[in-house]
Amino acid sequence: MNIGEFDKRHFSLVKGGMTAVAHALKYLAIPYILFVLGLMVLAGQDGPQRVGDLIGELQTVVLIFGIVLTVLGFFKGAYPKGSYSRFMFGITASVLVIVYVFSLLLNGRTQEVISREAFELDLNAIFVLYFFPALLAVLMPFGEFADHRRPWLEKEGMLEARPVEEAGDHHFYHDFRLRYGSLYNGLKLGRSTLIGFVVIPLIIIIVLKAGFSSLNVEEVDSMMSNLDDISAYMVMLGLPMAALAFFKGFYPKGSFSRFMPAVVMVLITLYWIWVLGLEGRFVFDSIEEISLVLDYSKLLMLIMVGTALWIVYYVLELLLYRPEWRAAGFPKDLREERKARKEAQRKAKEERKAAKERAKEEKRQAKEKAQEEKKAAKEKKE
Amino acid sequence: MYLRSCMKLPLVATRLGIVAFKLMVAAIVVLSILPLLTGGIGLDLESGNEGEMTYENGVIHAEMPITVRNDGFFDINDLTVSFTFMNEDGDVLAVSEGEPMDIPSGKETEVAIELNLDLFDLDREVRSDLIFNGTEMMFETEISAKYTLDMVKLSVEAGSDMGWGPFISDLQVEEWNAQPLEEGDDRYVVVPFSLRADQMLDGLEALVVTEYRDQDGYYGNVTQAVLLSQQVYESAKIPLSQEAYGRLTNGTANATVRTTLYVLEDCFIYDEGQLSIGGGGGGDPIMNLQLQMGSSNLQDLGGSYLLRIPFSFQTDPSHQGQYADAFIEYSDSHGFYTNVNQQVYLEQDGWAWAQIWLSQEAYDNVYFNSETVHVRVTMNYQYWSGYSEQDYNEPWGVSP
Repeated sequence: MNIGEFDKRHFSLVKGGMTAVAHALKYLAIPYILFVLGLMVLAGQDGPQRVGDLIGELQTVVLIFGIVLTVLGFFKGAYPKGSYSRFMFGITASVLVIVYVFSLLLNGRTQEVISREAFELDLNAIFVLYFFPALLAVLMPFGEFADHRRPWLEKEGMLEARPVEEAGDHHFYHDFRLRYGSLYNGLKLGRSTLIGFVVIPLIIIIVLKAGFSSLNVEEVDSMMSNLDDISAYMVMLGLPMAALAFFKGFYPKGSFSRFMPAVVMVLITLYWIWVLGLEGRFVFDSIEEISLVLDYSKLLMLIMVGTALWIVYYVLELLLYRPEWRAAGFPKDLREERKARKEAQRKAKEERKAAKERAKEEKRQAKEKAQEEKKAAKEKKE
Repeated sequence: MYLRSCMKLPLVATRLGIVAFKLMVAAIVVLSILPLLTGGIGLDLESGNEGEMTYENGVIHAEMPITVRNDGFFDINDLTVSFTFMNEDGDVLAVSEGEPMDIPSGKETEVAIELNLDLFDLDREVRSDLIFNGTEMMFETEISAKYTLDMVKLSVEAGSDMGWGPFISDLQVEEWNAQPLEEGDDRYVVVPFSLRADQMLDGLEALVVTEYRDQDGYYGNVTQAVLLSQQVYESAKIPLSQEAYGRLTNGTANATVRTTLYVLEDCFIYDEGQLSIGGGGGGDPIMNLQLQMGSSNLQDLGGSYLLRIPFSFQTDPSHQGQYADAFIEYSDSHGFYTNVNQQVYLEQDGWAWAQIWLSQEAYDNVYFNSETVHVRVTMNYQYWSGYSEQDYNEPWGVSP
């Protein structure tokens, strides 16, 4: 590690401030305000004291971790991507977020109070579910470091710039080269897919099951069993989707290596919708001698058609981005580089425009000169 | 650069298209669910017309009108109510399919829920059981309808047991009331019989075969058509030979009569009895049967009107402690007729009350118009039968 990368010459107060504000909102202000609102509601309804005590303790946890994460966020944002300094602060903040969430469980007291006041909710299971995307969040600073290290070093003049790759004999299967991929983008998309397709549905199922169990009614047994089946499907479909999402995010737009997992993801998503939508048929026959069948398969098909349109989108994306990606020498899909390319394109355009205007001006001047000469010749003749 | 931006337009358009499509689907879902949550779709049962049953050509028809209020955003289409009747083993006996109906949005639509049970769809045995004994049938109701531009179909199935009938009951041969009859050279025995039929069957023609058989092997019968009503009281006039008639009147015939009622072609029930005209032994078991109209009273029970008429009798000591059947009939000159059957405990000086329910009209007639009514009590005990009847026009006091 280069200690020099912690030097203040790499430090940006503005960027640090912006990240700090984002962290402050996410980890401090919003949770704190929510707890304050909770306390106000509780006071208004003359709620149980132990819930008030619990919220008070949670507020303390939020304050402590929120402030620390805000400070860490400031330093993380202040240093440039690809530097050890940003990597260190980033990874520390990510690990601390996991500790923060774990601390909110208050050694099982949060679960105990919820159980007493509402129903038996397994917060430990929910934490375990949260842990997997949180682990990916810990890896994201590493991905960002890996992606931006070389560009940053090149920018700082510490490394010689790599020559632009020629499109010459690049075939479509070359798109799968790892050097074209962005680890950060892959981890980010994989994580959000894992959250959206596995973690959130499973948390909803855990809450629903806890709610149904608290009813102590036999009629919901079959629904509970259905929920178990759905949970299994969510895991079986969600994990491959998260893996595919990693590759989709990893490879840049315009590459086959992004297009293929994207299309497979859409196909799995269609099946996911079909399964989560109970195949368009909801049957409730738990009440003796009454059965209710809701057939909404056509509506579900409509939703699936809407989702299938993404295939058209990815085909167009491949066709439209590929020439640009080829022309740029097959770079990684990094935001900074994209911005730099756009800036270069803008400058080139301005230069072309200026050259065009110069040529126009020269032409006009030449024309005027010719006219003047013609006029002078005419006068001379007269 | 501009060209490059233009090249990305299809991507933006596709993305916008997907978003618009999803918003449209979301709007459809929300607009479908919203009226259900806010009570925009509801049912109102018509209180006046509650499922009256009618009968026509072998089909029992019940209709219950309901009003469906659809304040939702989409029409409810193909609303169908169907019934499936099954036996205890779950075998389908009959199916009643309703006509599909559409309920336009923003309107209240009156829908008639119809139940049609075609009795000829049932086995003869089941049909006969249903008509004469009443039966429990399992039935399933299925209500289905399409909503949300026909993209959502809801079906609700409910199963239950349902008690039916009996639609015809109390077929009784009144052998104790049988009378020999001479018309010139022809000889007959007239045997009254009675039965009750559900109001639904009013006017349905049934066939009655009454057979006479005596111990010497004489056989005679008569077939007649009767129109069913809530109370049928008819007589069968069976031709007899001179010899059979003689045996009957001198008490040596030891004859039986059987009245068989046929409805819906092949469903039948019968009742039979031992004739005891002439001869016989000992004195009458019941004597001095008399209506006690002076002690009768009329009660207004909040819209229901009960007439209580006492009758008295004396019983031979050897028959005291037994029960006799009493059949009390009440009629007025406006065509109102009703009757009641009851068992009477036989004691030395017997006294019993007949309770007769009057319709509003019959009540008004006797209460406001000093109507003359006819009352008859017939008592039957073993071989003995006797009656007492009276026209009565004294005003009744009404006790609340």
